[in-house]
Amino acid sequence: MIIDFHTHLASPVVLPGVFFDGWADNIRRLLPPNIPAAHRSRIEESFRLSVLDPDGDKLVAEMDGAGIDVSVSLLIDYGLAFPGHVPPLEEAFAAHRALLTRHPGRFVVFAGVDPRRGQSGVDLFERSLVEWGFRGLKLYPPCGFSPSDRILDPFYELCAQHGVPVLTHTGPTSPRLSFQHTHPTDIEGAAHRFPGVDFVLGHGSIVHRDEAALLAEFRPNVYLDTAGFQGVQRRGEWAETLSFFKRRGLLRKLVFGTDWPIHTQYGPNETWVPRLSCAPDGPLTPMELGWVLEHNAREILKLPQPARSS
Amino acid sequence: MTEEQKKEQVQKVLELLSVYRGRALADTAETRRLSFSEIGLSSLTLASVVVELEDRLDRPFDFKAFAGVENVGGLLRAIGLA
Repeated sequence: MIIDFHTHLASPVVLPGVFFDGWADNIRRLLPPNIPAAHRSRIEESFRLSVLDPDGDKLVAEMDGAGIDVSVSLLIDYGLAFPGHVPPLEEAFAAHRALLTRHPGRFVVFAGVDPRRGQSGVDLFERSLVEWGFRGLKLYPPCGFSPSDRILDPFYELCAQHGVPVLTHTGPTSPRLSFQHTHPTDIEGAAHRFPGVDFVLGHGSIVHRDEAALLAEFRPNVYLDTAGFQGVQRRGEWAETLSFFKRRGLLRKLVFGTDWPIHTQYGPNETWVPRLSCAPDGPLTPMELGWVLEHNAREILKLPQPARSS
Repeated sequence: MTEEQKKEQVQKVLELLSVYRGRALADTAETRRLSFSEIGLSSLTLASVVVELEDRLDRPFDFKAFAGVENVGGLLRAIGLA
């Protein structure tokens, strides 16, 4: 059994074009100078949202192909960061409610709310937990807030009350957003104040790795996910990364995540899941691999035994 | 594709990779084991290589075919030359 702790709905409602415009800005600057314009366009396009899947059917097909039983779908609230570029937040919530209805047992949804929305945001988050079956909070600090800001305390109090975790992005992202507040230690204040809430650092195993590991090592309620490991694997450094976490005794703090649909331009999940494990000569034992692929996530999510669709 | 044509195409691939490697690459077992990190190819420059190969070999490629490809031999397999 495999749980993917880090996916998104492949829809402009959740991942707006302006987000990918930022990636394109960066790619233009990074490419060698002598590349023809047509090549540049093709490369830029390949880094945009390469799959549209507003109802989750394609993702479920990929999950089936890769042996993934459950995926965490992370809703991001870009409304205040990209005003005029995204539909009302309620539409994104509705799309995720529909996802849960359409694919029962296959998804866990984390609500994304920019805390600067104030009480209306708190109310929306609470309603998502109580009425709609959402099971966590997704934070995207690049939108312009610190995950340890006290403005988030009412959200964390709800997480504690309902026994649900938080996943917060760490590391760089689209250059159209701020990289401030994306350091692992930005979560320290909240993780200290709310010891009963589990915090998962999105991409924590691949960006600012040493500091993320230090936090995970000494804070019982801090975990790291593997989203974005595909780039590390491409560089031939993933086996060493797994060894690093094994040596540090942190394999119980690591959860598998793909960041789907990001990275889909380089292939479907069925190609990436085996590469995550570096099988057959990888550094993890089958037991340790089971922790990363399933057991750690199951504990954080408090998941019952899931049913797999055929 | 004939064996001769295949050899020609492999040569074109190696010529392009040689630009990134900084020295000529011959078609040997050692070259085929050469990883992208040894050549100095990032994900982005690999994308650039793939698009350039579409021109040089005059056929389109799906980026998805390059999932997890880590070395020269894998690249040649992904484009049907090995």
